Amino acid sequence: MTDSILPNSLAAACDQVQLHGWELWIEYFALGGNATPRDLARHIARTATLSDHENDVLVQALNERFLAMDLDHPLSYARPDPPAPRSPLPPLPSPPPAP
Amino acid sequence: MSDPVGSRAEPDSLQLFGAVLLGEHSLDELLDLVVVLARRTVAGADGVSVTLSREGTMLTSNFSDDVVRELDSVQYKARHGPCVDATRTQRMVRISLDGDGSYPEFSRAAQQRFMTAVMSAPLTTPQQGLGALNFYSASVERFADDQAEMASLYAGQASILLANAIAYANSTNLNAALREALTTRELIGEAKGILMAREGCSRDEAFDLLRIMSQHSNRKLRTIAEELVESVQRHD
Repeated sequence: MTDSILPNSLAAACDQVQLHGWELWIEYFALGGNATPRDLARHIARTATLSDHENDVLVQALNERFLAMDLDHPLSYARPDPPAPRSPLPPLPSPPPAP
Repeated sequence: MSDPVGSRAEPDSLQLFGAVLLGEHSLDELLDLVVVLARRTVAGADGVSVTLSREGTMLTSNFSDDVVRELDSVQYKARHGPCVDATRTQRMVRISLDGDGSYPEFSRAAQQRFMTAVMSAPLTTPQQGLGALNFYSASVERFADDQAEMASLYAGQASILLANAIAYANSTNLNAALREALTTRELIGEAKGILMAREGCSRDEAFDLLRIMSQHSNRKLRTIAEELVESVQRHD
C-alpha cells in the first residue's frame, strides 16, 4: 500500500475522502458518535483527544468512505479487535473468523 | 442614448426577484428565471448563460440556447475568455469581437457563430464568488456603457437571489441529512442493544463487534445493523 493510499493522519484521511465539517460530523453521529462537531474537529487537528471508542467511530465513518472508493478499511482502530462472538449468532451477517 | 427596453425592464426584473419565495422554486428554476430576465433587461443580449464555479471548476448551468453554451465551453477548455476571467477576477469583462484582440481562440469561435459582442458580469457575494452572468450579442458591435451598468446591477441582484437560494438549499439538505443520520443512529443503537444482551458485553464492545463484522464483510456498519435487527425481528 502506498503513502497516497494509506493516510498517516485523520486530517489527511479526511482530505483524501473529501469528508469535512458538518458532513463528516453527521456521518460520525449516524454511527453513534457522541462528540460535538467542535471536539471532533479538535481531535482531528490533534489539539484534543477523544476516547478510543469515539476515535473508532470516526475511523469507521472514514473507512466506510474509503470502502466506497474500493479501498478496504485502510485506517486502523484504536481499540483492539474483540474476540469472536460467544454464541454462533446464526442471524448475524458474515461473522468474523476467529483471530 | 440609453436603451428604452433596458430602462423599462429593470424595475420589473428587480420586483420579480423580490417576489421569489425560495422554498417554492428549485435552484434550477431560479437560474432559468435569471437567464430569461437577463435577456429582457439588457438591450442587445441575444443569448445569455450562467457560469457557476465550484472548487475551481466552471460549468454552464443554465443558458438561453445551445450556441452560448458551446461558446462557454470553448472558454472553459481554453481556460480563458470573458466568462472565465469575470469568474476568476470578479470583475466585468466586455469585449467587441471585431477588432478587439483579446481572447483570439474564443473570438474566432464566437464569430463563426455570428456573435459580435460579449459581456460577462460576475455573480458574487461578499463571502464568495459564484460565477458569472454572460451576455452574447449578434446585433450590437459592443455593449454600450449604460447596458454594461445595467448588466452589473442586474448581476448584483441575481447574486443575492442565488446566494440566498444556495443557502436555503444547503439548509434543507442539512436537515434531511440529520433526519437520515438519526434514523441510522437509532438502528445501530438497537443492534448494539441486541449484541449487549446476547454477548453480555458493553455498549462500546458491541460497537467493536459491529465494526469488525463490517470490516470482514466489506459492508457498511448500517447494513450489518439493519440485517441483525431484521433477523432478530424474524425470529421473535
